Amino acid sequence: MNYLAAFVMAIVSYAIVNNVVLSRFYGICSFIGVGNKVKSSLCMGAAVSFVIILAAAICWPLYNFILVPAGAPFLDTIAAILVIACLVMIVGIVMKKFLPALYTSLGIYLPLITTNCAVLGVVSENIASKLDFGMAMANAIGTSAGFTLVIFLYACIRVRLEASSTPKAFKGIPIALVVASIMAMAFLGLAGIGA
Amino acid sequence: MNVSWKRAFFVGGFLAGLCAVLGLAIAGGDMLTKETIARNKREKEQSALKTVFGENVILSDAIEVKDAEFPMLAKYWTVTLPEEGDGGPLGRIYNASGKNGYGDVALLIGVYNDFHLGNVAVLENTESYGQTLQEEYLDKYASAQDKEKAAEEVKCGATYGATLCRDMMKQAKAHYQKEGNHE
Amino acid sequence: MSKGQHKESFLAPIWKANPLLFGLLGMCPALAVTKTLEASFGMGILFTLVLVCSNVLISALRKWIPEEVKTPCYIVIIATFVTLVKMLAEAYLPELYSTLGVFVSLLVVNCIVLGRAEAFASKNTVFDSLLDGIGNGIGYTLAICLIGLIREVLGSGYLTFGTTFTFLQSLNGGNKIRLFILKGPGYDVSMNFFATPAGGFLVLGITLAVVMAITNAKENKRKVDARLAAKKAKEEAAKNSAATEVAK
Repeated sequence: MNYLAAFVMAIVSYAIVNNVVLSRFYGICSFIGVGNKVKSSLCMGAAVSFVIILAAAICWPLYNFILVPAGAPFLDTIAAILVIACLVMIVGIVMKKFLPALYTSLGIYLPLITTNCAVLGVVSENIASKLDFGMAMANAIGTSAGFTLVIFLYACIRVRLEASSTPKAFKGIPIALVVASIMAMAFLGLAGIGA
Repeated sequence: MNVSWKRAFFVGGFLAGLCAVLGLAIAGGDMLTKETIARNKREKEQSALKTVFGENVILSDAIEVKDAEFPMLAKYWTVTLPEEGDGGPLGRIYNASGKNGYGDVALLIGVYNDFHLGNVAVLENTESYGQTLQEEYLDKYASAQDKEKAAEEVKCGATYGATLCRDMMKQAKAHYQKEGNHE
Repeated sequence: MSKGQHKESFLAPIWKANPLLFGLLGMCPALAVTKTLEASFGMGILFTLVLVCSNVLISALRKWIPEEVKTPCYIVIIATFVTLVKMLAEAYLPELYSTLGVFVSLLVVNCIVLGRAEAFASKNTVFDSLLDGIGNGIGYTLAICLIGLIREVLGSGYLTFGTTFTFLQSLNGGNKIRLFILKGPGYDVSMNFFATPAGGFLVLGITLAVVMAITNAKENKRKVDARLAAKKAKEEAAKNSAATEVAK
């Protein structure tokens, strides 16, 4: 199999078969917290995707070309979280200056992205699994696509959920987790794709 | 202006100092734990070697494999039964490692001298889906009666990793067959 | 702070203000590592270590940390302790380290650790922050152990000890200790579903709902009691006033 096919297959695998939220459990907080607005879920997805892809693209060379030759691979976590925090800040500033309309709709989510485990999760996974640059990017792209897909689907379900009568004890987060469980079961059916 | 400059220097200095102190703490932690981690790795290999053919066998020193035909194989140990038994040769243990788009896998593969696969021990598994690989492929392999058949059953949640393991086993077997026929 | 408040900052997070069950925080590890009881307990220990250390250092530095950059400072401090704990785990509990994998690094972005730093350690003394850290650590550990216990028993049918804490094997002559609960010689009513991610979501969701139901029931009882007491007091008062009327 040539590299391009492997690359595409890896994206599909990271996005759907081993979905970031439903089977790797990253980004649950924002999954549950994003609410029932379909549009804002897409905005959140876009913002997180942007940060994940940029963070992965910066952290990979930072780790392999700077930290490892310098003999300090153990600084990976601290370096990654600093890169992510700076990135989120820069994205916020740039957006405010050049895309004020987008900033007002996305602004409230931006600080939350620093503590979204999906971002640090992808970067740490790339390092721990010793992926090469192409595959690390495939992980980043697949993960962000999977994240956007799942929070979009969940927002759509949430609209219906709000109209139905949930038992009092299940209101809010418990029912969200049960919905996630059923979604995960549906995604479980896709395991083995690409064999 | 003056005051805000002072403040900026203070903030910058504080951050730099904090990072320096914490960086040193981490480096110190690394120095303290590095040897233990390396020793754990060596001990793991030693104890893994014992699980492949059991504890009551004699292992030779490791012999390196330098055949370009078998890039996944690093070294092997020949295994003989102890003197008080029949003392004959039993097989070999290969140290094999490979890499795919999802991570690294390193195995110790036992091959009997009739070229049948024996037990496999895992040295390293950094695959993104390592857990699935372990449960759906390696655990099933370990409990299977027919190892050859279990090695071919690669369709699982971590198919690429399973394929990688299968290829390692195939190479180990082929290498033994090649050398064994020369002997 | 008085002695009662010291006690409160230690005891409250264990049940009344449990960070997972009532705070609904830190769900990512509560789902990811709770496949077995042992792994949950191990995660709880590492979590407690990180939380206590970062709480203590942050509250010790609280007067010097500049307001403008406080969150980056907290994150850097937490990341340092996570790295140190990660190294210690790799050196002394290698099995646990390989089971938890990338989720040890993800403690850096755990909402509870950062949340306690912002909400508690930055405003209170070192001693109180220490108590708060230990209390929250124990509370969280108990909560994820509960999830781990339910999932392991339902999912595998056994309770196994000695997989991640290998030193436990010496208690049983070098073998893992296995308790047969839902699965044993001749019977098997375990469901593998609970070991899968979907089962994790379901168990956590239902646990939270049960906790919510208990809280609701308590709240209702309190309300009913209060209303009954009020009614009784009213009747008493009416009786008393009637009695005085008659006396007149």
